[in-house]
Amino acid sequence: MTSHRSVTCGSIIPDDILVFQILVLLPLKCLVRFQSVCKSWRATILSSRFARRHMELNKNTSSSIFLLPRKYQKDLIRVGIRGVHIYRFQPGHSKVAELILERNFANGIPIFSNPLQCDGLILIPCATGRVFVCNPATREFVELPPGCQNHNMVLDSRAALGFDPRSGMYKVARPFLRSYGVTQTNGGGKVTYCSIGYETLTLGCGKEAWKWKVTMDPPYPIMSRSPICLPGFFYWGAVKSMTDHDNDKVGSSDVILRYSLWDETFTVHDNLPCRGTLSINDALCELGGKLCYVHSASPLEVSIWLAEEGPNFAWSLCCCVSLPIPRHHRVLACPSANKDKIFLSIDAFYLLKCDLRDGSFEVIINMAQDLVYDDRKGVKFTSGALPFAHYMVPYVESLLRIRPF
Amino acid sequence: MEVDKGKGEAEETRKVAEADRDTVTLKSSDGKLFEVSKEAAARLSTVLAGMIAGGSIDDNGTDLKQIGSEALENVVDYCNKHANSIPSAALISSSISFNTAPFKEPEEWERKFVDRLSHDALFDLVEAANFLGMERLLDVTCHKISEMMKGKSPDQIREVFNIKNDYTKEELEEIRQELAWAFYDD
Repeated sequence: MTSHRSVTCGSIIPDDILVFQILVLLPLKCLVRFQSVCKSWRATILSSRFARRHMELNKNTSSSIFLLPRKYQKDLIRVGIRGVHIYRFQPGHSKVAELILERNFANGIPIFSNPLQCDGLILIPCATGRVFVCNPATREFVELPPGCQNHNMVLDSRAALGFDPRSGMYKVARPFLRSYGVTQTNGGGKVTYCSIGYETLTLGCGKEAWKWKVTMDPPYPIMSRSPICLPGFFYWGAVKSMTDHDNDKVGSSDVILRYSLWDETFTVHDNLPCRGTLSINDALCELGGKLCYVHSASPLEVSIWLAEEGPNFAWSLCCCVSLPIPRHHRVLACPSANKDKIFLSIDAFYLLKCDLRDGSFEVIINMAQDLVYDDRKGVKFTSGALPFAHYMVPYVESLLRIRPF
Repeated sequence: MEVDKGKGEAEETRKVAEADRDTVTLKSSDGKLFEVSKEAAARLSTVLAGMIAGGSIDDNGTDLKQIGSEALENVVDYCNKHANSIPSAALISSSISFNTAPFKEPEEWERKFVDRLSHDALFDLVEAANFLGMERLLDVTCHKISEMMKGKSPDQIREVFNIKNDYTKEELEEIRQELAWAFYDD
């Protein structure tokens, strides 16, 4: 440990002790306030190194989750949503979700899909390619700069958000559609082609880094599905081959693309266990630092598979769950404070807490019928019969900065 | 400075005593001498443990040039109190149950020990604990400082830590507005 005295601040306590033994013990709100003490405190408090240490020490023992309710709409391009509303909900303790952060847009925003959470940052990908990132704990809400335009406004675009341990930075990455079309072959068959690019953006860095950077093209077209984000790597489902030109059979064979944040390259891996494709009813997510595949072979069952991060995934079947109501679309998973239990939401409205050890579950709440959203200003609503997706992400508090500063 | 201790004692007695003396003598930057339990010093300070094991403890007072007498008195006081407190049974059990916890809450006597110190004394003690590699004392003092900071305004913090406000009026206003919510208690 060095014992030099602080030059910038004139404090008599050595900098490293002040920062990593004293400031890290302070509550988040206090630290937000202390950004105005002096410039070097602000730079320290906003650094990802400090924010990560603070998060480590104040490990989330909260049993809450964040909920992001969102109306369904058929037309994905229409800007039919007022904005983003993030609620805190304590499953099993209450039937009320309290508003934490809201951001409304005068002209509305396009529909967004399943949000992702990483160390307290929430990524909200909109259908047309607009991407929002927010930190409910610091109330920062940011629209990322526009990147490469999707060809013909491709719908349902996705993005990944994760930590790169090698650079110590948080990054967002997403595929974009450069071109797409169908051509006739000499034999009369049809061949579809598409060219997909890939771009990344670093958060909380200098202003010059606040733009998308095009990196290596993915070797196969990435699907419009939420990726799995683990430290250093993003995992995307991708289509290896389509057999639509035979006309009689439509089938595909899928692979998993692993994108390394460090060297910005893709590697190709075999698809998930038990089938060659990622069906519309299956979901990918991160669970306790592992890759998780929620496979639903029939409307009344899901099986949860886990794999360790690494060049060769060894998938293992974790548990099978018999659903209490049939799923129409898919079942989403979210970790809980207890590592043996996870939240499952059937079609993003029917919430279960499931025991990974034996597949047993308890029904927490029917979020459409019984959950009250409270804006803490006197307005309460229940989505009721309105078609809503009640998206959930883990509740984590951190100081991480999104915008450059 | 000359050492008072042992002066006038018979040479043999001193030599015999040396081998199993259960204290060591430390000398502050301003030349004051303090006696501390050898066992506690070795247990609580990695630096003193190293010196004791390496035989570099001076019986006439080991020079600790970086530490003033007020801070050293507190260090010694802490070590001696520690030696007398119900040793570590409580600490050991808490370190097991809170294995993953970042910081073990100070015990009652540790809390009292730091509560009576002034800001300056506390800050000096942090430096001394850091210098001597006294992890537990560093934790306890740092914890106390963080507790002390919690309710303070940025202005008060600058005063306590002697920090110059290097923001322009406009910059400060901008930050205040951006973070207005954090300036109100809810």
